[in-house]
Amino acid sequence: MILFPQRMQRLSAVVLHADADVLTRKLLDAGIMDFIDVLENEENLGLKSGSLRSAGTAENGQQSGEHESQLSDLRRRIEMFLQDAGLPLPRESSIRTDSRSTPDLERIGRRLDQLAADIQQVRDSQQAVQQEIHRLTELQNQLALFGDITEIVPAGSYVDVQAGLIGKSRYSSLQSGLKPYPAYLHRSPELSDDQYEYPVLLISMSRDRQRIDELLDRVQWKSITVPPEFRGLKGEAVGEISGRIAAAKKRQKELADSARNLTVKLQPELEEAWREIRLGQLLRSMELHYGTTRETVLFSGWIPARLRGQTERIIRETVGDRCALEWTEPEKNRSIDSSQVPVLMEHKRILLPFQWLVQNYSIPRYGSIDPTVLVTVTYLLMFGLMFGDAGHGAVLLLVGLLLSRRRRSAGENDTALKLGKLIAWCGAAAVVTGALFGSYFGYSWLPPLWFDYHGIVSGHGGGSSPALVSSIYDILGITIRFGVAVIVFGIALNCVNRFRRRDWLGLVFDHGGLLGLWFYLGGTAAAFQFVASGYSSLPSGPQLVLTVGLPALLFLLKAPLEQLRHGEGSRSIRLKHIPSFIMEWVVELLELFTSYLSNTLSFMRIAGLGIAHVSLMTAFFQIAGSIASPAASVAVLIAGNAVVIVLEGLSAGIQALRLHYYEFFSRYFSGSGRIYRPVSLRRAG
Amino acid sequence: MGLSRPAVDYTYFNARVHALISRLLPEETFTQLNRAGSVAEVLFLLRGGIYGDLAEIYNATGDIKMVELQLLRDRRQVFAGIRKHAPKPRLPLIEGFSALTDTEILKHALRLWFDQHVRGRSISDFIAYLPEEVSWNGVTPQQIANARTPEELQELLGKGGMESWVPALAAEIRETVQTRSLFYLELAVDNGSFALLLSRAERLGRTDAEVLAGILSEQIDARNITRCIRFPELFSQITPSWTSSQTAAHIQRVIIDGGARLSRAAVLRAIREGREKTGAADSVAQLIAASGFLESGQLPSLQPGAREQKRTARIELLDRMEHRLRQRMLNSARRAKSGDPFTIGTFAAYLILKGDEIDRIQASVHAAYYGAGPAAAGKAPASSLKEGSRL
Repeated sequence: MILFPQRMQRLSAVVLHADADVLTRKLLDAGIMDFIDVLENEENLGLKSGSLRSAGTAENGQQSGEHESQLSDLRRRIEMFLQDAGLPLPRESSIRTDSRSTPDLERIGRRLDQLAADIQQVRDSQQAVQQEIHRLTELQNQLALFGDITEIVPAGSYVDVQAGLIGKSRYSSLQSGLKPYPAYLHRSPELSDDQYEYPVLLISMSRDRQRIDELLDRVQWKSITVPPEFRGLKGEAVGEISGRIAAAKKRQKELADSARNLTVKLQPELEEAWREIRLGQLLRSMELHYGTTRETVLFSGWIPARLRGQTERIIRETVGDRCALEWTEPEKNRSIDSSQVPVLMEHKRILLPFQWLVQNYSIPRYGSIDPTVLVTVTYLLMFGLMFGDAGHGAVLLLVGLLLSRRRRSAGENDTALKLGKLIAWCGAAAVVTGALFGSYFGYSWLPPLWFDYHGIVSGHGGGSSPALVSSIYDILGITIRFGVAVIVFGIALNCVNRFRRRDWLGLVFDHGGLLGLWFYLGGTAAAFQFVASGYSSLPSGPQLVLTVGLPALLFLLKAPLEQLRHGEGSRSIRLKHIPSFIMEWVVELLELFTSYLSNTLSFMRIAGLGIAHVSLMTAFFQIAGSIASPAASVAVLIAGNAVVIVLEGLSAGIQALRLHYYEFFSRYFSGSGRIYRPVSLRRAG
Repeated sequence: MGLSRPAVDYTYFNARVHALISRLLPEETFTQLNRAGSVAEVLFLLRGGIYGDLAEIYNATGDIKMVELQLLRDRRQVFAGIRKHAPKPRLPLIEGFSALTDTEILKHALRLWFDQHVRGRSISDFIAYLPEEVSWNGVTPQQIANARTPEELQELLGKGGMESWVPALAAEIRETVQTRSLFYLELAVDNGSFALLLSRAERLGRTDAEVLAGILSEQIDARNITRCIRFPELFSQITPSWTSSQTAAHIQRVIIDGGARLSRAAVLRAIREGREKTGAADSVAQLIAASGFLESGQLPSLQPGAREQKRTARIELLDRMEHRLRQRMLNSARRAKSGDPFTIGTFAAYLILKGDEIDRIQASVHAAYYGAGPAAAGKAPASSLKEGSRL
């Protein structure tokens, strides 16, 4: 069982300038080093302040900043083009660190500008097509108002209908002249040899009348009354316009595809440029942590202790003996602040949702307890006790599995995936506790393995073991005992943390230290005895003095000892300090008593939620029972189950989290650590 | 002890509005938008959020105006989204705000009508960008833009209910055609829409009306002042030969009532007092200078002769003013947001902040499309200042 984060070691290495680039690439390839800024940590690394220069020195600092900004802008643009075309981004794992080529930023920039210009050209064509679609659509909407086509325009329409004769040779001029306007032009079929003019029907928007009249004058249009053969043309006109709209939309789609294809065609080139840029950025991000002298480069970083051998091998294989390596173990070097050591929480993938819950609270400090495994057990226990129904649990299990299956491709860091897994775990826990309570969608299809929760809440007894659990008070008692166990466990973990940190004062006098544990156990035992006596008698005086009084009295030593150890000004105790010591002691005791009491009673919410779950189901059963129609009754039961699953599932999940964050973690959790983040190519693309 | 009426009305509603405020785009997004080099980049940065459909629209049509149309729809959607959560007694005011937004569409339709009917320009390439889903009593903006005659336009506006709130509508339409200027008709629509909103605000109760008046008066001041600077002839044409009633009628037309610093009464008083001394235009200029919107000495003369000479200075001044007024407007919104939680102030603040967000997106799209560059994009247009904008 992994109760502590992985052990880490700090590597400080000095290599020659000539070897630095190759080694940097090798280290990037290995992806195991969480670099620290050498210049900012010169003193921590035992170096004389100011003895090193940055890899990006002051003279070229501005230039270097511009270069980084250029890299970042180009990468963003490439990603935009690829994603805009619906293409996936290259994965970092596809970057080859042995590639020696350096990105030609100017060339990449020019290619991207050209691509943007080519796409814009297509967009301009699309805009023209879009306007044609608008014009045709407007005309189509106007024609829809017509019963049939005559000179009489229906109310609400803004078109003019006119017929005329136009010379054969001028027809195409008329056609092209009408292009900027929403207009429908129809002519008779081919003319006979002795005819020189087409009879033409023209439908256009009234607002364009003046401009169209000018056009008609130019093509020597002779107005006539609408001939009979043009009447009844509505269907044909609407059909033709619809056809033209469909053709324009098709053209629009082709243009959109052609814009996308411009990127698709360049995909390999864009991906290669992306890889070059990304590699450059990663190498640069590593080098920025380096310190340099005229001949050498110094770098430092954290590595999991188990990878020490592998790291040394990589360095030796790359630079041979031309290096000096120094390994530091934080456990043996008290000058290293544990909050600066990165934390690697390495658990089985199956526990990731619980690791997520812990990290949402805080990252445990290096060397302190990583409670992921413990949380897995206690969270599921709490949820199961609050949501004890095997049927409802099975639904949650199914939903959780479906959600995590759907989000599997999104990567392990996807919140929905982690939530899905957590829901599945909770569902499984509820199936187990549901079997213990004999509850299956509120029905008792199988006898309970422990006690009948429904029976107790509805006043019908606790099933086969009524002697152990027969009333709601017994259920409350169970949850309080459970709470006491969790709190005691939390205090024990705090003692372990204090012991590992060699914080002896805290180990004894902290609220969650040995004296606190003594006080809490004594007080709890006294309380249980008082309840067992039927609330009639307290434990004997000597017992109370020994279990509660003595630890309480010993707390009086805390303030003087702290004064001796950490006192401001002088570390001696004077008479004037005594009243404040007593005051601190009284406040401390009051705080200790109220916090332990409220923390313990807080666990009664587990029973409360469990009882609410059962009561809600009972209520829905009663409603369903009072409905005459069997179909409606079933519908009420289904809806009731759904409501209970959602409402109670959410409540139980949140309350279990609350109990952990406030009652369990607050006892021992040392947060404010920082997560281990090696510079690596193995992250998801 | 029961909750007071405003507490009952606003507890849930303002909680919803606060949730919407928290979803406004962060400043960091605008920094990125301002750095984007093309429309595609701007729209790409907005993907995955509530403006995600803009990129799809642009890629499918290549038409920046379709993107603008969608932004207009997003602006209207604000009201549709909030209406269902609004307390019933406050609905008329929310409808008032919504109507104020639709006023912009009305003005756009009028501009198209004016272009085609008075100026003889083709509007076929523009009419499609009027939203089809908007109508006033069944009268659509397309019908307004397509009206064949001024009489038909008047009839349509009458049917759409505008005659009841746009002052002297028929006369304004006649004058628009005669003078070949849409200016006064737009002013009338603006005046009417603010008057309508203020009258609805007065019915809300004292606290709400005060909160709203505080916000609206900033808005109205901003419009009045920029109008005075943009169109100095509005005041330079007032000569000593004008009668008091003539002057009053003119001021009623050109100044929106309800401003805190530049109310109609204050302008009239300034003109009366300055008539013999400096002339109407400079009196108004002094009034504006005293309003606190400008530092003394910044305002160029409003006399017509100075207009051309000081054109550049005027543009620069307007630019500075727009920035300053936008800040004032945003500050008033922030004050309202963090003020009494049981007033309409939270909602009004959201409208201002949301409107500003959409304005800034539009500015970024424009800057990228027309190549105005990041600097221009960084300066959001002060929507309140433009003739024909909304709260």
